[in-house]
Amino acid sequence: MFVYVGIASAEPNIQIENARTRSTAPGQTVSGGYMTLINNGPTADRLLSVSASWASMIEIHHTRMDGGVMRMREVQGGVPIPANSRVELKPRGMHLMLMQLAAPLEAGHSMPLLLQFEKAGAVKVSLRVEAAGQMP
Amino acid sequence: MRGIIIVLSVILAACAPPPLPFNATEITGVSYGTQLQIPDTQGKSRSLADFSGKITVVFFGFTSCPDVCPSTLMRLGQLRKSLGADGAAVQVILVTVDPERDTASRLDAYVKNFDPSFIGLRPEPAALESVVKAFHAIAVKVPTADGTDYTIDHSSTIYVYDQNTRMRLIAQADMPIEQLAADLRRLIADS
Repeated sequence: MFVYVGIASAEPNIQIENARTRSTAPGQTVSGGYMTLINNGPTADRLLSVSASWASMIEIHHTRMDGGVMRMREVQGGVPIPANSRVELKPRGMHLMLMQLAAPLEAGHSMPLLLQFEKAGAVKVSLRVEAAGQMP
Repeated sequence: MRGIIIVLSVILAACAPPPLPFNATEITGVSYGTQLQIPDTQGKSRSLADFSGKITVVFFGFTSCPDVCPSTLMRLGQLRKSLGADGAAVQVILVTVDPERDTASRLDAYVKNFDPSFIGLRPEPAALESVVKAFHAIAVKVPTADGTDYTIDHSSTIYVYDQNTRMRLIAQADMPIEQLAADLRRLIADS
């Protein structure tokens, strides 16, 4: 009755750096989330979804500039993170769309976020809130 | 002797360097975006004439835009700061493409979160299409995956007017701020 399948791959080989978001103004319900996803392991993984109690809807989006037009689309099928690699979620690129914010995000605060990976499972991250007027 | 002088003058004139191009795209004389008439967050209708004497920088966006809009507005705030004393001559305006969700107070709080000098303009929902068209811009609603919300694909062009309220430059949202600052210094020096 022992099931070993998956245990080896469940070793924590995912590391998150520089997780951050922008402060929001009263009434603003959306902010962008950014971070570096690092896979130190020998097997590929995938960020499947993200959740938080303070943002009831979170999607992974990609910004594409198309002849001077900004288009944002949800990333289908999650974010692949190849073995031994780093993937950047960054402004004007792939990012978290943190929607339906329960309250304004205040600069200096840290917000808990739960990332769900295909192999590494759930990984807790603390998102640093930076002043919107200062974060690129 | 006179012939030599004339020849020399012609050579000198031919050698005079042409004005350097701007870093942004110069569009002086285009027929679009030459006027606007949009209520501000106090409900007062604003036109370009209200910003005479300022370098006016217009950008379309909306407060639920998580990525390009805040990034651009932050950079436009840096632009003003990087110009030092001349920064006071720069008026940044965000025109919302989402007047249905962006109430006046929400829009006002949003722009001032980046820089207290920024102004938000809010077209009536019925007027949005004509405002966007007048700038040869676009704004198209796109539903989110579960259909309960939407985002808006929109032009992220930065429009720059000189101190005589003439449309002069367009820049892409990701243009390095130093380059745009150099252009604005030239516009300020030229007027």
